[in-house]
Amino acid sequence: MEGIIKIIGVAFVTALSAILLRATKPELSFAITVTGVVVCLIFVFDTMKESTQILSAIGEITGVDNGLIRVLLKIVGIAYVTEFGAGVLTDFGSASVADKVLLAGKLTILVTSFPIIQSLLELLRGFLQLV
Amino acid sequence: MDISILFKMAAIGIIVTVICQILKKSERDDIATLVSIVGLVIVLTIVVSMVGDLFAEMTNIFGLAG
Repeated sequence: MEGIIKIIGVAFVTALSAILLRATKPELSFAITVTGVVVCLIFVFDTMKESTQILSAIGEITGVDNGLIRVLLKIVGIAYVTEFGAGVLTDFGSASVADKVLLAGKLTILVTSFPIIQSLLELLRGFLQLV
Repeated sequence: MDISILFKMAAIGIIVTVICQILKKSERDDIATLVSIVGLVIVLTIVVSMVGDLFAEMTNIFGLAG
């Protein structure tokens, strides 16, 4: 609860500073926007750091392969990085480049998830041989 | 990581703007351009290092390396 209030405060300060500089120095206003976004995200990741261990603990309890959970976390991370990059690029006014970044992120996620699909198919083949 | 860096960057922007105005009024446009570029480079250096920190942290949390 305290964290989100802090983040909203940072966002307000960022927006205010960016507006303050937009008229005179637009390039510095962009830089301030990016910095504010980065500060917000770093706050979030500080609170998130402990939670990822919980995820792998759940995996240990339920007997899910640790590699699968790592791939899952990796996919989530790729999605966040891609979203961040695309957002910043949209802020800079180059929406077409942002679209390409999103496309690249989707392809990367697809490639990263291939091992999971492969293991699923292996499992299915095992079942079919059983029958 | 704290938000004082935002205030610092806003201050850099305002100071650079004021210096540029003074230099332009006193007919030194070339130096004004130089000051403007220097301000931009300083701020961009901070931004790039912070984005690097963020990406390093993300790589740590989500295990993106390798």
